[in-house]
Amino acid sequence: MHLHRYEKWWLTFGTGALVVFLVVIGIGAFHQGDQPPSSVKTINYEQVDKIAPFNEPGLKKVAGKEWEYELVVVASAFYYAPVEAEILVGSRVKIIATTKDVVHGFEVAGTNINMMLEPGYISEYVTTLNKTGEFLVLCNEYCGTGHHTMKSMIKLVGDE
Amino acid sequence: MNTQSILRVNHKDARVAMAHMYVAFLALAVGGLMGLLQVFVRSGRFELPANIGYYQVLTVHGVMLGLVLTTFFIMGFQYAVVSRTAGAFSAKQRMAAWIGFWLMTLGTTMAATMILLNEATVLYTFYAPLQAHWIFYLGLTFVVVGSWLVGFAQVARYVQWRKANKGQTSPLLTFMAVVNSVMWFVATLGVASEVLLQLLPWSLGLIARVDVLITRTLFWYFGHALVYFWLLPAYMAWYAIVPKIIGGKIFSDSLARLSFILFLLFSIPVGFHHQLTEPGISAFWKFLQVVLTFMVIIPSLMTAFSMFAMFETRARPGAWRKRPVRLVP
Repeated sequence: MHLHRYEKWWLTFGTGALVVFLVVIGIGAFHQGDQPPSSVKTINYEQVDKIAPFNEPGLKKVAGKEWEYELVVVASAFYYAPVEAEILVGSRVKIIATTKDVVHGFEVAGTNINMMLEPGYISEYVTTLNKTGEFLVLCNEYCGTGHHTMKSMIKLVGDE
Repeated sequence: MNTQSILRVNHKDARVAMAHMYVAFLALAVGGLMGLLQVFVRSGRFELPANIGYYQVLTVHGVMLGLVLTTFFIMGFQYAVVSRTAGAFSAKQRMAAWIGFWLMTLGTTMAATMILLNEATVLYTFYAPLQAHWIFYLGLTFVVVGSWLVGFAQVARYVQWRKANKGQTSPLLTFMAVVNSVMWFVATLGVASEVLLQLLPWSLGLIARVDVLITRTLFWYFGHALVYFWLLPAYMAWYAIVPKIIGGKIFSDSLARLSFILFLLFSIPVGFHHQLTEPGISAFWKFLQVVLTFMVIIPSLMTAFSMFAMFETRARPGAWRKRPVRLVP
């Protein structure tokens, strides 16, 4: 196949740009550790209420870990437990969440927390929350007729 | 201008193609109307009558536009371009296409009925464990199986052309339609196995539960390639029809074919990028499929280059004199 000179330049430029983009993403993912929630942990979704830590949803202070708080969330149509969590601003928090019924979303608007909650799987994400204020948690995956009413709140409060 | 010379699609084949178009545009009308209703409901000043739910309307909107309009339009369009460029279909091939068309129409009616009865308000992604009535799943199966028949007819016509014209380059549009049909076969294997092996037996009560991650992975194995399946008919028009309309010349026939082959290959291993925030897939595999997803840049840039080159060579001084615009190719 004959390729025109301009066409070769164009293909080289395009492929070069592609390589640059992918290297940037690779460095971000494996050097900086910016990875999406991918815990690959499973759970019997019919027994969520009896299995720790989901038998006691809520915020817990922990010691001796890389994070100071664990926020355990159980989602079910159409609400989250707990409905509200108050966290000290600047804390490192691990969110551990699952669902008892259908697929739900767990997106904290204004932060980079965004996870799918799937029955049978545990979603985990570790992040530092640096801004004070109220952050709406909402379900971003259709889960039934009450989907749009499914929400909770994370309050980030100052140290006083 | 003689109408007959424009409509050089065999009239029996034209009926098959137009039948697809009627259903496609009916789906567009229904799906579009549902989109309008959603805006009215969201405005807060309008309430749907007869207890119809917002998500029910949303499901009709998604299924009609995402699955029905696209499949019918593309299959009808490709059937017409194959007939136009490779020659009329044989009676057997045409019969397969008609059976496929009616199977798709029956399936659409079954799925639509269940959505209207509020037995399948699961959106067009139908993620388990939201469960729809088994008739909804069976209807979708018929749509897919019907589309396979229409696709098989196109492949059979291509094979027939190859046998009759040994050693010659196949008509570009026929080649492209066949590549897109093959992509459709490969992609729909995912959704067909999801529906036939998991959702349908589960909705009939034959199996107690399904693995949510597997159903979603099979869905997106199909769902991403689905987007390329929608895209390639537009590329067919760009590569092969636009040059004729503007009186230009395709930049490179082999480049166009290569880009279609690349689209086919790169459509396969990329579904995970629709599942990046899911818990059950490890970060390494997500990254790998993101890398593979980016490969689509290569045939996309090839196409962009071809389009600009084709317009440029047409617009150069002198090109107008050499190739006057001929609306009838």
